[in-house]
Amino acid sequence: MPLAGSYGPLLDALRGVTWPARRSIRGPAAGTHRSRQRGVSPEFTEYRPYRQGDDPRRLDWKLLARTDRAFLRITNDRATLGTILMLDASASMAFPLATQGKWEQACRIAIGLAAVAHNAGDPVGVIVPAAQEVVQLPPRTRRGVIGEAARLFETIVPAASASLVPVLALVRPTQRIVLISDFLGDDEELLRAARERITAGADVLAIHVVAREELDPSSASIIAIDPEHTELKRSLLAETRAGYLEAFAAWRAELARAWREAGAAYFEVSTDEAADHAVRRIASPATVQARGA
Amino acid sequence: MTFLAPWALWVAAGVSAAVIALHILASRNPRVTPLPTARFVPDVPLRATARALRISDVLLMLLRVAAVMLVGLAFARPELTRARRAIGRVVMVDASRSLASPAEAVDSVARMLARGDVLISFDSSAHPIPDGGTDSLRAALADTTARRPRGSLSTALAAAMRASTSLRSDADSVEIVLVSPVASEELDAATSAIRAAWPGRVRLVRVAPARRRSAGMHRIEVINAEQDDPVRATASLLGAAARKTSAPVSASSPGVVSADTELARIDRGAARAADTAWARDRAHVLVRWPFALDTGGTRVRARPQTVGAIVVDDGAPAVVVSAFVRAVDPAPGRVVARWADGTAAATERMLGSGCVRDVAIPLPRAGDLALRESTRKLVAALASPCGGRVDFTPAPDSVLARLRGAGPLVPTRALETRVAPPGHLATWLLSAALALLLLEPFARRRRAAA
Repeated sequence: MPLAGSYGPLLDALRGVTWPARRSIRGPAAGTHRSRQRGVSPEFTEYRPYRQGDDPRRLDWKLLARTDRAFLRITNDRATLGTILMLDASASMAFPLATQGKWEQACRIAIGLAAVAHNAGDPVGVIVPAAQEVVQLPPRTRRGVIGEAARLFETIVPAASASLVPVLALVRPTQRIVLISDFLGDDEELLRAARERITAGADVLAIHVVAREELDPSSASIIAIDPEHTELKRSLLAETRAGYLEAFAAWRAELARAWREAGAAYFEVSTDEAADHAVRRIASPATVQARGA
Repeated sequence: MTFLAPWALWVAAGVSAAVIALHILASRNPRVTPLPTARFVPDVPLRATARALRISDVLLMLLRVAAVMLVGLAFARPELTRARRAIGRVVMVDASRSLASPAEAVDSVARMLARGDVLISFDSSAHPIPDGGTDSLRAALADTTARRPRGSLSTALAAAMRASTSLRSDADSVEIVLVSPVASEELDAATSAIRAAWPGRVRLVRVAPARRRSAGMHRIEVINAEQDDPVRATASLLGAAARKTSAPVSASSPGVVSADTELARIDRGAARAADTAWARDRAHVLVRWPFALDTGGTRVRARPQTVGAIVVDDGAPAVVVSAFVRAVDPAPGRVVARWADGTAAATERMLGSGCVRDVAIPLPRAGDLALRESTRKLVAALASPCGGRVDFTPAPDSVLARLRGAGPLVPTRALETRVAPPGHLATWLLSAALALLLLEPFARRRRAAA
């Protein structure tokens, strides 16, 4: 478990990185994301002929005086976007047992994305359905929220098979929802719940954390046991290794396709990928525009 | 270290190689490891086994290989060998009555004997000296009484040839050394044949023979005999004295003898303890030849038989031909006279420094049997000094030359391999192997715990 102080290099590496929303939002306050609202911003965009019902205060009176035509002065507003980071703390995330690599990588990515969002003035919150209770940090923009999140992660030990589905319904659909998980639990139900959120207007990102040991298991023969379902035992031998790799790759491809079809952004992050690199990849404007297209 | 059965080592090595191969090739169940993506592994039988290219269970394998090799070593019959000598000797020292001076024999042995040699004393039988030292030999010769048995060179040579195989492991050649006066009485018909069976030469170290007492010093007397007793009559022809009783011999009695005279007393009456003590304490001969043969130490036969002759071949040969009625057998002992069918007619038992003879020959009062020359020889033989014929004259030079032989020393590799019982080393090796096998369950338990 990385200590709160150990995120310093990661936060330094992510300084200056922006994470725009992939579409216009209806935000409450001035932020960095494009808002669906037009109005009071000094940033001029275009003129539009006045139509009955428009607010006369937005008329360009000087233009009306010069040309005797009524036009409205259109400006782009900027808004903030609340970001909720939901981490999967099930037992499958505590893999490999010796290094807890998947959970550590999930924490690093969450802290990195939170820092990027927080730097843009967005409120950042964390929700972790742990074994006994749902640990959460409400979305806030105040200073120190990143440290609070880091300290929160230190208190959590991945165990059992807590589901993200119940807590997903608690999130407001106007927010950006980041699901960081290995999706080895109730992935079907989670996708269904996420689709509902997306339909309601939420911007959902599915970040799939995969361990290097899962992508390329050791060639030694083992009896593999599912940590969340201990009754599930399979023999991973030289004869079954190719079948495993093929099935796992097919499942990942199908998972990515399903999430993208549902309107979510899907990223696969391996445990051996640098966290700052993964965060830049997720928050990249090109990636965002591609997703939004 | 040498191995009497080195093939066992090869067998053990083969078995060890098989054990190692099994540890390399043996299939085993894979290790149980958590894997969150286990669901994507194709569902095959869970007890599938894995073949390891590296050696598994090294400790267990080492235990098994060590146990197998120890058993192989034990069956290979290892022997710890000393540094080999050029010549090993089997020293045979004469301890028979023909030896004049045991000290001379011990000195001769001391000059010949080296560390690792085999020392055997012999008279009528062979006696290995356990620790092979002259001190032990001196003690053994000192124990012999004045009545030592007659020596037998045949026995000595046979024992030496048998003992020579024990030198096979630490000497290149074997030499038999014979420390003896080589008296004529020590030779017999088998001596030449046994000597011919030894291919090498024999070193003879001759020591002085004993001096035989003169024949004129031997006197015979008959006691408890009637006037018409045939034995008394025969003995009188031999010049023997006769008394009615066995009263102590006095200077005035007819049986007066000097102190070093060996006396033979033929008792025709019932046996008495005083006569036995007399023979035992004074180195005399007591001949128990009762007129009524069913008294004394004889054994009565169930059915008397008639035998036609009596043969004496010890000393002066004699054959007495007559229709003897054999009704009793003498007490067990050295046979002095035989019936014509070979069974004992008279026996001798050594008793202290003297001897007692039991005679089961009936001599009838009637007839001229007592007057015959052959009967006189029979009585003389039965009254002869203890131990039978004594001939301490040295063997002829031709016999000595045959005894020495002209062959080379016998190489030990030519000796017949003696089948030796398993030594202590093999026992220890087997014990160690057993201990290792007993440790195997603990090693297996440790592996299971790991």
